Amino acid sequence: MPDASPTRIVADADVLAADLLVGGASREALDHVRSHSWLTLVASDQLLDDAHAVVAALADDDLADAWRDRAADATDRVDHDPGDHPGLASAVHGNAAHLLSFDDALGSVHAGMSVQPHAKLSVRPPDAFARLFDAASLYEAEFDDDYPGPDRDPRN
Amino acid sequence: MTWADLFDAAADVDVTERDVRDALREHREGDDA
Repeated sequence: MPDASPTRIVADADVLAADLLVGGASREALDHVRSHSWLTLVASDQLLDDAHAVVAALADDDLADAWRDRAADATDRVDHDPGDHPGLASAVHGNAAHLLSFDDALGSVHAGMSVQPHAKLSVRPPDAFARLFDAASLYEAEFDDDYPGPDRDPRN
Repeated sequence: MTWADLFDAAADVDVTERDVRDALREHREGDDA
């Protein structure tokens, strides 16, 4: 399995739903990803299904369906075992170095997972990610070039 | 639909991060049952 990449990011279903329904730190965190074409949001179908269910429960089916269509286009899809935690498993199978979640326990509890998270996986709440993420430093480290700034409209 | 369209459509939904976390926990616990 390739090394985890700091340019590949998973948001667990709570953060995906909060991005849409609440805004705040979740939207700020995911705006970092949406604003840069060299950052990749990774998700499994199960992860998108979970977020869809939350949106449908708290809002309505039409909004949930529209969100899922847009989210499907915006994510690099990975597969994992049905019994695995969708957020953790998406990060593992998607070679992501960042997992955004409100679940404080997610960073340490991996019981029942068919594949254990790699050591490089950083599990953070969205406010910490939004505060600490440094696009310029990451770009310069990954591409050995000057950071060109955001290159995508995060609302498109 | 763009992200802007989606955020506009969701603007009137009055929920908190806690509501979202609780809804996900209930959903996943239901899946495990």
